[in-house]
Amino acid sequence: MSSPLIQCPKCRAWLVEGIFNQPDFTPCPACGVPLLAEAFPALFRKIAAGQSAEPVMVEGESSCFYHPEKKAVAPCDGCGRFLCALCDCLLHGQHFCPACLETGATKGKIKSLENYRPRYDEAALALAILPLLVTAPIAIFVAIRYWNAPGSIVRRTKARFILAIILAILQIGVWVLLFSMA
Amino acid sequence: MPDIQYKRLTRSRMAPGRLALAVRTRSSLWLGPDHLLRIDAENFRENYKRFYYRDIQAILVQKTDGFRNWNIILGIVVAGLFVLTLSLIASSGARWTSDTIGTVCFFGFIVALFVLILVLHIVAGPTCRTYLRTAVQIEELSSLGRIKMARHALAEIHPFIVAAQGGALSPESVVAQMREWTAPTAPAQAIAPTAPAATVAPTVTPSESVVSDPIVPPRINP
Repeated sequence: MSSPLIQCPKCRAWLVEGIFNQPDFTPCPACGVPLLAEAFPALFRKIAAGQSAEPVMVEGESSCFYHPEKKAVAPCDGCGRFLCALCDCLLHGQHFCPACLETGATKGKIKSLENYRPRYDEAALALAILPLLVTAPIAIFVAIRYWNAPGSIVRRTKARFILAIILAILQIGVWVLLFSMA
Repeated sequence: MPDIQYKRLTRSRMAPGRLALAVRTRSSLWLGPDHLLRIDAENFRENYKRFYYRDIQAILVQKTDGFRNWNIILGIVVAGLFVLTLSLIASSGARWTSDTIGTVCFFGFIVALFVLILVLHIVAGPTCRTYLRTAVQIEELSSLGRIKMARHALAEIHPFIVAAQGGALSPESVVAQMREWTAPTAPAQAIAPTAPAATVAPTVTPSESVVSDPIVPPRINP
């Protein structure tokens, strides 16, 4: 993947130079499918080689928490442990150890590592719409229980929760009316 | 850490190939300050994938035949239903009962519905598949399924990528850089075939494990 050569998504033939950054669609030289290919400077950027940790040379020199024989280069911004060049993971200008990165990703502490969120508001709304006897109280429970739970990363309104509660109350009202009439 | 503000780039669109799994998956794109966010929403969960502007190497838009194919299919359906409705009107002649009026209205509604779908399809324009490449992956951006939308999205993303990567590439500079990249590898490729294959291949004794096919697991030769 480090090669700047790009394949045609249809026929997997290597794309020739004249196809890139053209104003309009250009046919693939192999299969003829029209392509619009925009290349950016990152395509030709050489990937820097990974750093190797240096051994501790002087007595009393700070060493890595995970590799005591290796020299520490930075403290972890999450837990404060000293890290060698191998364990030091740089994320948005902050140094993290692998354990803190894992914790940040699984517990959602580091926002940029969060890769999923459950949508309780949509679940509550779906339950409120579903016309079954037990779904309306469950919808109200879900809405109240997860009212403060983080919603979508892009939409931060409580509108679905509010709508779910209103619909669920209406549904319960209809059920009560039906049972009282029967 | 404060929440990141995102700007919507595309509306959520059904991801192709996911319908068969009976999972309602919808994909949308959002512009962040330093990354492009793809949200795949399935049932009651949102999956996020971030593409940092500094890491985006290329964006490929491949024109597909979906536009033409759907035009043909919808055209045939509309024409068929229209002929059916006309034949109903013709068969009823001068006697218009409430049943006939109801049937004609029903078919008229269905024809109008399909005409509306056809018009919306034509207005949306030709279809495409969009791919985004970084150093480690090639991802399809399924919410960019129309050329018009893909061009608009590309125009929106472009300034962010240029700002993050410190400039844009002209077609000439792409040619020059590709030649520069591929030039040093040429002598190595020329040398490679000169290595005799027979000397490289290990000699296999009867007691050793034999791997004749890379797919088949190694076996002990009796």
